[in-house]
Amino acid sequence: MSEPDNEIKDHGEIVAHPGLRISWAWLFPVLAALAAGWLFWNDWKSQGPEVRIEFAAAPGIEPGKTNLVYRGVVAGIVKSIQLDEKLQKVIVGVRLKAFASGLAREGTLFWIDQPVIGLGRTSGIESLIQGNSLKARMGSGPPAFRFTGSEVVPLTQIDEPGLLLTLNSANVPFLDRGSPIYHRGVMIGAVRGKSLTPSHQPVLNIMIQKEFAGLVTSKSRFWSLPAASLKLGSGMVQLDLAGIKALLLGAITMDCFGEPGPAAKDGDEFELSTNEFAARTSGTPVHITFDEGLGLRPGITELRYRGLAVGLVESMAADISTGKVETTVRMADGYERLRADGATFTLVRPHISLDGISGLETLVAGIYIDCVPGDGTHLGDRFIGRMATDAGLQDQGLAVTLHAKEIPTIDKGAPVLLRGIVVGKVKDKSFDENNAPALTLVIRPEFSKTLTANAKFWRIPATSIAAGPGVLNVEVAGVQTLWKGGVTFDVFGAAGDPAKEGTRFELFADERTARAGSPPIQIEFANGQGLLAGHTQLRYLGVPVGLVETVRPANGKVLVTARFDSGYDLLRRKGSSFSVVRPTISLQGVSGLESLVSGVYIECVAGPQGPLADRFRGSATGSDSLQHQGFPIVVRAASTAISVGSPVFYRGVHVGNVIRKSLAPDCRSADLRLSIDRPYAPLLRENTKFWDVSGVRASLGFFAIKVQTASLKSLAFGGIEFATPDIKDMGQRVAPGHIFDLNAAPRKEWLLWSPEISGKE
Amino acid sequence: MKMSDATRLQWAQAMVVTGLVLYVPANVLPVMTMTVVGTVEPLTVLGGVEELYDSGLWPMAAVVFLASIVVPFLKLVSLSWILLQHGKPGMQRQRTNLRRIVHSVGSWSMVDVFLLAILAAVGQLGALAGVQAEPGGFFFAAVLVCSLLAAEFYKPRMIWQTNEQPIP
Repeated sequence: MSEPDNEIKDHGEIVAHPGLRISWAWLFPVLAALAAGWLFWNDWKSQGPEVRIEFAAAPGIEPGKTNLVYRGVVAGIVKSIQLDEKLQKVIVGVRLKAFASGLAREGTLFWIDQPVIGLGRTSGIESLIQGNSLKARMGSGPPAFRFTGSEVVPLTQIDEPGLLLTLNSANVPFLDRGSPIYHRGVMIGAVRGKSLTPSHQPVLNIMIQKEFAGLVTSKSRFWSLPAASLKLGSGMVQLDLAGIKALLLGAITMDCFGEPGPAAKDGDEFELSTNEFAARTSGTPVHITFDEGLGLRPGITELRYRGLAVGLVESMAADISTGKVETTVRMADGYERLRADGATFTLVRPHISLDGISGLETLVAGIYIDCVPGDGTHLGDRFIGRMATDAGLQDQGLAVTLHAKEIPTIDKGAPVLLRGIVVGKVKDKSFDENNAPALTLVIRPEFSKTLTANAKFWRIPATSIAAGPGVLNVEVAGVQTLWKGGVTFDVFGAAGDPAKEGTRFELFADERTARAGSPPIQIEFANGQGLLAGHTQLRYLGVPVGLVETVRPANGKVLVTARFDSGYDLLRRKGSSFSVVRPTISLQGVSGLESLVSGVYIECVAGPQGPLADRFRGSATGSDSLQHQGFPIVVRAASTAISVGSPVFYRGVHVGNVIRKSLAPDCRSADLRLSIDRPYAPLLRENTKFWDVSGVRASLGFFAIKVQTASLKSLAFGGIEFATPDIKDMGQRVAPGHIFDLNAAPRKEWLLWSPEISGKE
Repeated sequence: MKMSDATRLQWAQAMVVTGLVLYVPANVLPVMTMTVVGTVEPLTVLGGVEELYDSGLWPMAAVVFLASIVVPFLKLVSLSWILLQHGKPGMQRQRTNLRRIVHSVGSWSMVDVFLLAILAAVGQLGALAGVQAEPGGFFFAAVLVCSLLAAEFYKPRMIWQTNEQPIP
């Protein structure tokens, strides 16, 4: 550019229009302004709304520096930190970035990320280096700009939890925030915290992750997984370790056990069971009342059905007013049927007694409740439990009561025998309403038909000694009865109707008393020596057929009440005779010797066919001739030396005896009552002659002295001989009790009679 | 490049205006981001001064403040005044001196930018620490360049031109 050239060439007036000619240079400020403006606009645009978050404390938060991190991305920056007016809260103002403006909505959780180094989990390590940061988890509510920050780091930092649930439990010893919740080994959630309800019941707040929320239904069961469990059983030692995390924090397991149910909702409450079995058994509670609860442990003691655990004792409480312990038992599903009406629940403990040893397994496994289902159709929920020691496990059956004046030596649990077979047990021993001792028996169902209404019960003595001639029998009725005694019964013949529940029976002291069951008879004796109530027997043909029940003096006599065994009604006929048999040793003979050992007894002779009587006059004659049911006749003499027991001969054959010697009704002669053996009764005819053969008859003959005596016995006591005339003169057969005359000596022709009598009966 | 004085004047004016426009973002936007053990800290120029002052290095703070904020601003203001006085008589000597000062100071003004470039290049210590240049630095440099160019376009002799006189 040369100025002189310009001057030379300048021919006109040059008007400068500096404002009109615009240089390209002005593009630069425009561009700069545009660039700056765009930048600022961009920056402004990238700013979202400002939110204000309240914290109790905001350590390490600096305005302008601390970022808000969402999913690891910086989503905002802290712009301000203030305290509220009361200095109670920190209000942090955060300027969100535009893309993160969605965080400004209700439900968004803000927390200060601090390093947490714990046993179970470690988080926020990065904040060790970077300083604390503010973190956010997006909520899903409507827009909001004021928030309350969380004081704790949430368990799920990315997503909202799917479900928030509450678990109720008796206690939650080791579970705490962060304890995992597993479903079949997969962690589906965690414990958010534990707290107490207003009623001081501990509750666990848990959360289930969103993707697993559908797994939880209203039928879900939760139980705490023990960190480590050691199981000791017979032949088994099992140590379970549930992983190191569970070891440190404890864990909870959830399962539905296959039951479908509606999905759980936020805030639903569940029970936390102590173990898996408890979780499985969460059916309807059944209340069982026991006399005492020794050894019962809630959550541990099982309910078993045929040895199978089907339930669990949930809780127990003592009722002071009734003095009983009420337990609440929950049964596993599928066993509801066990609580049908009539079910019995028995507490099984180790039991060692003479009965045997039972419940031994409970020494190791702990006691349990045994369940025997009832046959009702209605499901009950209240039961009276029993002790296993009550009366054995089979305590069901026909219950009857026995009464007696005294019941020694029989205890609870003593056996009830029928012909040596145990058919029941003594369930209880107590007083009845009349303060008389009573036994309650239970006859097992399978034997209940054997007990009829006419059965007789008697005690089994622990030992019995039966001694008799040639017999010495010591019976020991088993060790169990030796200890506890026992009861046995029999019906003695015809079975009656089956006994009904609750029938009252009398308990007899022994079998003889029990057998003697006929209506009582009364016998009068002049002398009661040796007669013992309850011991003295009535014998018929030497066989014991009854027993003396009472012996008491009355009106100068002894009145004996006796009973016959059933089936001996013939002895109660009018005309039966009774005599006390005592040992007799005399020249006539030795009789009743067995009574030396067995005691005095009463010999009975059946009367003739006729009506029954209940009062008899007994004789004290210790004669065994009464045993002969001979043909009775009477021989009358003016006076005689012949005594009772003297023999009666026919042709030298002993065919009968004198059984009684008494005065004739008019007292003018003596009557000898003879008993002729039945086979020889036809010999007795109207014209039969009787003579005395007592003493020694000596006849002085030509060559010899003939000493004639019927027998040695007749030598001492005298005897009677008789003869019957030949057929044409003998006359008719006599009736019993026919009276003959006694001659001092026979006529010669009498000795020659020899009729042919074939009428042996 | 041959330019008429009028063109030069316009260029100088345009550059000053551009510089003034860019001065705002240059000071508002962070010039660099320092990452020290995880802490990401964007720094504006004024923020850097504050940081230095807070650290007790107030002389340094003063130097940086003067060099990076006051001086560029004064340059732009001075140039603006000079350009506004263009074609007017009076104070021409002062204007000439002022322009000379601005021009001579301009050769030092890029020290900040140079320092920033070195920092950004050297200060890469992996995860522990890092320095990254931010748009603010660009704007800052642009402000300096603008003021340099403005001083260059506006020749000293143009101070002496007046509207009454035809261009010599």
